[in-house]
Amino acid sequence: MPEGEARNQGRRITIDPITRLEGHGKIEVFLDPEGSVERAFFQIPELRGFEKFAQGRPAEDMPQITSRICGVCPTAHHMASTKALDALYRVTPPPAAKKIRELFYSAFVAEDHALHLYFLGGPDFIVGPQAPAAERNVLGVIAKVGVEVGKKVIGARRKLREMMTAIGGKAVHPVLGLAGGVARPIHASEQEKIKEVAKETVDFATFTLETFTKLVLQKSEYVDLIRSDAFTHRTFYMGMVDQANRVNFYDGAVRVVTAEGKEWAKFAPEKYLDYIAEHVEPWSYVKFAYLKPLGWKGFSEGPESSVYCVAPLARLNAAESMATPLAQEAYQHYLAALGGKPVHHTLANHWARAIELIYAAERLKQLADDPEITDSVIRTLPTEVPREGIGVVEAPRGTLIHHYQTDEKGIIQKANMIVATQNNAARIAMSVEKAAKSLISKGKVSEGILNMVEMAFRAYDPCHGCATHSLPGSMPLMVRVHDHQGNVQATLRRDWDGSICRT
Amino acid sequence: MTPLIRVLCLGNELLADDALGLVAAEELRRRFPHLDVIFTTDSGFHLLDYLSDCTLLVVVDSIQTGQVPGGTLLVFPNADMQSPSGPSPHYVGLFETLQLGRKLVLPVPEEVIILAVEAVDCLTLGGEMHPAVKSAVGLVAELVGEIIRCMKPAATEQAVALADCLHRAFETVSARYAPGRLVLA
Repeated sequence: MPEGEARNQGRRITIDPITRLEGHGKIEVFLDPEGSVERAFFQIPELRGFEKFAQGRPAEDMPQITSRICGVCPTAHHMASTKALDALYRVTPPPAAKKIRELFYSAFVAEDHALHLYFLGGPDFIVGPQAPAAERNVLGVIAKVGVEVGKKVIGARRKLREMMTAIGGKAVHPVLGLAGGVARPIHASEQEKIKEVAKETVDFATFTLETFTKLVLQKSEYVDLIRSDAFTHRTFYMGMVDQANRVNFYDGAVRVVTAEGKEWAKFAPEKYLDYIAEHVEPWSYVKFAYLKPLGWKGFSEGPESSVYCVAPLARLNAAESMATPLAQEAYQHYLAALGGKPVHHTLANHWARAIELIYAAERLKQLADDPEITDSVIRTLPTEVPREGIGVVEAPRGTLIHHYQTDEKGIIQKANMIVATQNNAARIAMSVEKAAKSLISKGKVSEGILNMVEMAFRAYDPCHGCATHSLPGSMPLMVRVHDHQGNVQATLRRDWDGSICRT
Repeated sequence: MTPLIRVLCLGNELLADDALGLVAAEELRRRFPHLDVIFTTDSGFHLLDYLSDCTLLVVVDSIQTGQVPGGTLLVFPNADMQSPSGPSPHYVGLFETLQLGRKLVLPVPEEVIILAVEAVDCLTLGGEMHPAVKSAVGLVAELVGEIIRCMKPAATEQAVALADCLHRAFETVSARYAPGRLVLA
């Protein structure tokens, strides 16, 4: 990709686009003559080639194949793909199949949210953003919450995984979803165990919110940080809801609300192309999703914006309530504490995640207790000739879309995928620029900028593929600051020991 | 005591050079049928599921440092290093997982070595492995073979410490290749 250009106030800014060799994210900051931030550009390598990869493949293989795209949320891809097959073959799964899918999916979201909250978002809040870098990691969290709580998290995760393995064959790449149903029923003999795991997960989820409340929400400095302007953006919010406008991870309509909290759109998944378009900046591989009817209006917020975001914060804004009692109680308390809907504070994603963990656990229990879950009718065989199918779910990190067009034999001709992170890409870029502007002035670059950017990053938890798997696993971010003549003034990068390397 | 050795190969066969782990696992199983070899696409804290019942863990994976040519084999003799608090939960890696396991007194191997091959492209879905990366698979297998031979001596020989074993294995295999093909990190 050739050098990208951007224009700001008439001045040409040249940015080196990120190359494939770079295993890190890059933030290029350009200063004005006074040493303040003129613009900041955020780049991160992302997966490419999905359409070409999908072409020529049988669509029925896609739930298995696409679950391998991401090592963190394979179940989300599996489920979105499965639902795309339902639509492709115009087949409706029987009630038990839908419930089995949603039960499995609720377990996945619960496990994922738990891990994120304690071990990944935890370093920012449970340990604290001012703590030394060497402590702001999972070990620092364990030091604060105690080994017993750490073991509790691992134990809860293990039980959910074992249950998922029993239902889906494998927890990580489940053999579960088929066009029109699922691969196997849940037997009556299994139901008691599932109910037990579900109840324990509810207990664990409520314990988690209590822990988060004690360690974070009762500390004014953390609540101030959550509310701080540096991490606040007034954009649109998108999430999947059921018929009563309550959060649903597995199925429903996609609802979008304005920055004032009014419903702007509510559409069936198959209509997504009427509402979502992708904008490409010349300086980045990343595609920035925006609300199509409004047109691309740049990285802006407020009434003139067409930027939206997804994930826990957005879901709780896009919905009117939570579908289960404990989650609803927690939701009401959250809104009251943060000044009502919509909540614009990016760091509140962690709190929203704790509420969603409770919902996922309660929903898991509802489905586990449902007598229909052991029904033997778990598949409607497809009979229609396939044409086009779109499947949408709420991945833990936000709305995920799979779209396939096939020939009459079900071989993919065209395919598209929008991952949660593309939905958030514009807002992430804005968060990075805002962090840069608040931490760089008169040419002085505070090392705290890396912390601030990483904190925003963790709240969104973007699912870029670059180092999802490759070592070191932790993907470093590099911040490079250019003076107003374009010369590199400073480069900051985090080393493997957590310390910041500055050149 | 003879160590219980496991080779844990990490990778994603859909992502070009990230298929290294899978290809390496197949080659290791072919050369050493009795060796405990696991391949997984799991990442982050899910790796906890693979750490019990072994005392020496050899991890094989791709890496992108951008500092060495593609296909270079980087050997990390001590995987107990601190890892940075990553910018995103997607990037929690092996190091933090090991540290978490140790802190929670979970069954975690006493010793961990990492064999990481510098990748060229891990982002293209359905992409081919770069020839230099593919050729490193044999290198990985040779090094693992030398480590096993050293760590599991015959009954009449004395046990050798891992650090010495790794050093010997590294020297032996390095000598067969151009300088810089293997790097001791």
